[in-house]
Amino acid sequence: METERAISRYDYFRRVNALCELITGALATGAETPEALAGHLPGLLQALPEYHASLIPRVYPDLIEALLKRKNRNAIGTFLLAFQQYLTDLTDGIDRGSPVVSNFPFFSPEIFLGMGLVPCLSEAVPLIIALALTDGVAQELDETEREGLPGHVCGFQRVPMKAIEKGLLPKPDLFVTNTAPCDSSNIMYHYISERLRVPVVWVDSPYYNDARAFRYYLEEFRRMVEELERATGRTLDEDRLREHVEMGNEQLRYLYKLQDLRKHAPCPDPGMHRVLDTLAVMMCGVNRRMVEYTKTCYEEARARVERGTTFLPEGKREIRTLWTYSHLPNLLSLASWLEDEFGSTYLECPLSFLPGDRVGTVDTASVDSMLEGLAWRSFHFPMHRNVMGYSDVHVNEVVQIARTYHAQAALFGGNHTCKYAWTLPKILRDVLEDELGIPSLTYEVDYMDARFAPHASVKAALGEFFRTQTGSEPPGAGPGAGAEAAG
Amino acid sequence: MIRPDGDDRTGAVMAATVPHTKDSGSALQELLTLPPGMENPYIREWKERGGKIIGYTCSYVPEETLCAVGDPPRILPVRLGAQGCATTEDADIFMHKFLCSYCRCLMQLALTGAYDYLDGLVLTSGCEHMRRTFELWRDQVRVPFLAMLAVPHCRGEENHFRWYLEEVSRLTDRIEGAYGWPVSGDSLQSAVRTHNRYRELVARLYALRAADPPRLTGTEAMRIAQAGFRMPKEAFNAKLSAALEELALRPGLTGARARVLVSGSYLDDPSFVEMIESTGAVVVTDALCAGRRFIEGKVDETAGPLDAVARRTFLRDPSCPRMVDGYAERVAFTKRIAAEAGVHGAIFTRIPFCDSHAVENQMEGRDLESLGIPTLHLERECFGGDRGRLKTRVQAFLEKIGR
Repeated sequence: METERAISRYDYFRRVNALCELITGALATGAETPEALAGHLPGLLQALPEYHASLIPRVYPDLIEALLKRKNRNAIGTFLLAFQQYLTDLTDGIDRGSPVVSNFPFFSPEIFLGMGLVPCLSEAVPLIIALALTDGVAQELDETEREGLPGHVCGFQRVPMKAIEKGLLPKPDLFVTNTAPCDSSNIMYHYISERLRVPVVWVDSPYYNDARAFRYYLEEFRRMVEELERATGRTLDEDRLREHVEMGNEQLRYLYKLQDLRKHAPCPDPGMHRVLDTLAVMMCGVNRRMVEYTKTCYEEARARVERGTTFLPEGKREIRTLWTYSHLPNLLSLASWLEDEFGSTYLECPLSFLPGDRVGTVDTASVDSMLEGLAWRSFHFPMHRNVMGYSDVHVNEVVQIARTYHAQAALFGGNHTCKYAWTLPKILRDVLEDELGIPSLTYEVDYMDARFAPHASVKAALGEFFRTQTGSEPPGAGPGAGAEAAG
Repeated sequence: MIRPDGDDRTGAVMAATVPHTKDSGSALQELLTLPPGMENPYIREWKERGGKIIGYTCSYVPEETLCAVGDPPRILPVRLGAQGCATTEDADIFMHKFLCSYCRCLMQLALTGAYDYLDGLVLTSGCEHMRRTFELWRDQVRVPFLAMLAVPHCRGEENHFRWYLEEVSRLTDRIEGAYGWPVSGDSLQSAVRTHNRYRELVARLYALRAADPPRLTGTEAMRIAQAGFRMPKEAFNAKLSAALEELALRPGLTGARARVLVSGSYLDDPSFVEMIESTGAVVVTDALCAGRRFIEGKVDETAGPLDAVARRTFLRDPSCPRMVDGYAERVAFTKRIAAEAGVHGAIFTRIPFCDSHAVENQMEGRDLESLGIPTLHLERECFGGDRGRLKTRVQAFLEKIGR
């Protein structure tokens, strides 16, 4: 009897793969609005399996509208092709029987690929579902709460734990993670390991950012490789490692150049891509197409700067906005909506920003230099450099970005499960307002669970904030609107 | 109501009503009523003699090294508690509600002057809430001496211990630099002996508590343990030795409805234990960080003292659930003390947003249930409140387990 292939055996893979096919198919029609797309839908669905059609009513309508926009479509399209390639490689590896390593997202996948292991981003795959589908991963979240895990324990770990248990994601041979960023991650990997009887290879993250801390981290990093070799029987292949590290380097070079371009006014890079940038950094060096994604963003932004054009609606004045904590992954269309409604451009956020002058690229001269470079990068990744140390690191970085990018407004959309973040709003608000005159808004969200802060409430809060900045009236306000409503 | 045999007193009630009197007779009474802060005569006298008071919050701060500063010792380490904090309204300006109420209570107490007597504070990277406390004590409270002790999350390799040992050395260097008082091998060795004696005595207190019938309530035990965190250890040892003799002569507590264990997030509030005991249950043991866990394992007196202190503090089992290893040892410890105390049930409590204990409680709870020990999970805040609801839940739990 033929075994079902991993791409369809594991429902999360199947869902994400179908979403990728649906969206890339929709983009290929050339439609730029949902209305235009509707006409192409029968033909599109005819070419796709029946399962795909069942997902369509569950996709966020706002997301479809945003994806089709000219400013977003190329980047989204290239990203989804890269993600699909990742899924294909991952599931092919599972089908071949290669050992599966579930790695913490901000870990370098190059090492695992260099060892012929299959890196599975068990935390990131559910995110794609959460950002695309209205029911997201609510069922798995609710099931973990029924088991007694409270809602303040991060969904990034609760969901994969439940998904693996239910067979929606593959059970890995090993978990690999560092002890950053949070208590929730640490205790949940411990919990998952006990519950699923899957060992964890830990890399201890020291609580400082200095040279001593990096030496310690590097020692841990090297020990991780030894442990992986012992546990899987695979060894690090220098050429294969170099191939992926070079891809990762190329990807990051485009990212650094793109970050530089965002300093231009108006910002030439649409904000919706920041969520994708985060995912791309998590998947650094994973395949050639991921390089293409970052290159596409860069080239589009560069062309706008060279031509002096903008993606903002005609006549819309730019409000250069710094997201001082993170984006909101489950409301992917938010940044696009803010651009269109208020001219609010998305400069940077600490979850997608990489300081190129500090992180740099990896020296590919030898295995040793590559390991050291990857450790250095991991040490400086989001959720490490600005978490495993005093909050001054986060605050100083945000203030520096605010200055060099000439930010005019700041949004702190904090994930309520990220405890490390919750003294930052007051500190940041004070420093940004007092020293730079930048107004801030703080709001609370859950990355994985849109029910915590419904999209309408987030939009209402942000809309009010930006209307205050622009002095504009809310839609439907004013004497004329009242008369129209009465009529 | 629990009553000592032939006596209608309860320690908890007496502790609440009898004023503190140092050196005035009953050592037990003194320990039960020792107040915090500058009302505490030991703290007051220590400062009057020119000594410094250094606060700490985490059991990964090795008390012995602080006690060994100067000859005679010049630093009194005090473990900071949230007792007496009824609101966090000032702290909440800086710390969002998603941070645990223990840290917010500490901040509140600091902002309102309750910790003005502190000359310094040592924090650890124990949890995210505590890490974020550091900058606020630096920038808002402005405590004169502030240090961070970064504790690894892994313990299995020599480099993990080496890092921790370096952190401890750096801490003592900083204190020496700040005050000019050295830490000598002899003073550290002396502190080691005193602290090992302290652990023995507190273990005897726990044995009396776990006896059948118990010689003291859980509320009293917590009051005594808390006194141990706010007076010089040598003085505490002397008082506790005398108190143990008093307790041994006491009739046992009879009529207890159930014998229970309390575990979970940091707890230093005897009134919470009193709430449980007001249902007729007796908290005969605990697996708390500031309770039974704190005294587990002694320092090797034959080894180099700094290394030995660091080894015991960092590598001891049961570890804190913030460590990514050691679950098997932690749950084995809880099972052992539950068996030793013959408990009818276990109450796990957690402070909202404390992820480590929220998950650990579930894990340990399941393992205890599999042994036939019923469990109750409660969420509580360090600033009190909600006691009526919590008491109803404890009562319902006791009814459920047929007690």
